[in-house]
Amino acid sequence: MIGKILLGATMATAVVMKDGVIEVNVQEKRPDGSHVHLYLPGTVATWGVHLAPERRIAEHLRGKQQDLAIAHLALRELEKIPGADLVQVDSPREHVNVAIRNGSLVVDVDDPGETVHVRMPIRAARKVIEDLQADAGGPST
Amino acid sequence: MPASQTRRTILLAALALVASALLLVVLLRAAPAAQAAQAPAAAAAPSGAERWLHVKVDSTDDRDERVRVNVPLSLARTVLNSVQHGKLDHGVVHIDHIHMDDVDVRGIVKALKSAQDGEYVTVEKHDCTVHVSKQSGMLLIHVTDHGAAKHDRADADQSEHPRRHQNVDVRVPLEVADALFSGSSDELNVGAALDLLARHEKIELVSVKDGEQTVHIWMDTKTTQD
Repeated sequence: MIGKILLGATMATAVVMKDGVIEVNVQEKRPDGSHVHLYLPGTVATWGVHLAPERRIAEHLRGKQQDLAIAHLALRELEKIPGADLVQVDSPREHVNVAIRNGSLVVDVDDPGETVHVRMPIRAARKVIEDLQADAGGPST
Repeated sequence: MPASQTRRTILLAALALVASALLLVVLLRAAPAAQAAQAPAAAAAPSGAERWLHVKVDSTDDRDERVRVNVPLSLARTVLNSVQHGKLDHGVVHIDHIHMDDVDVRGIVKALKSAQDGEYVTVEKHDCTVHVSKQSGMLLIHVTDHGAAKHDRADADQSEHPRRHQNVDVRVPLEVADALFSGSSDELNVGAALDLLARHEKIELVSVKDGEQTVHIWMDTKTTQD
């Protein structure tokens, strides 16, 4: 039994280690506002692309090969950055921060309506783009 | 102890060992990452490191807004050189006319490149002063827009949005300006200009100051604006 648990924990760790963790946290500020907070292994994002019908993806991505290639190049460059604040906007009403932290693109928005925190491992995003490029029939950069 | 139980014990021990090793790997990887999160690369990078373009905008008007943008130059160059859309074609911007009020900017840059240091252009109008000079291989442009200060006071008072006193300073290495105009007459080679800009380690590029807003654009090897 302990062996199975350890094996499961090992597999789970391996999955999480592979592509990191996607975090989404949205908190509405009104009294009965909703709060969504979820963690997903980054690998799930690539599974999503594989689960979607290839033909439909190809239809939607027709003529978008260049956009995907640019996104892929940009993500590859961002992956090299160890950590930095890319964009910060501060005003009395809202705060926006886009940063790279430990290989993840982190977006924080705090405005009068809600606070949003999204963490997306860049490696996972790049793999999604690579899968989409393959489905769209474009060359991988 | 029966043989099957021994095998099971050995298997469990092996699994525990593998799990421990993985846990150790996770912790070892997490430790430097946690350190990096506490001090996110604030220190200056060594020479030859990545160049960063920084934009800093501070508004002191009723919006009271503060904007900070930090972009690695390699990212800007890579993206710019791969985009082919509209008038942007792999780092080259196609424009209809490079002449501004019949002033041949391309010719002026070429002439300035071989000229000695000094002030070359001075334009003084009632509401605006422009100085263009060359200093240590840099093209310096200083514009002072006197705005409402030298305008008819009555007109300025009547206006809902009177013009503000504004100072604009632009500093561009002449080689960068030359690279910008290195293509044909109807294009700007932004990609080549960025390539040459990346050879500089630290450079102040643009500074705009007026009563309500300051804009500052510069490049260095730091990831932060400290």
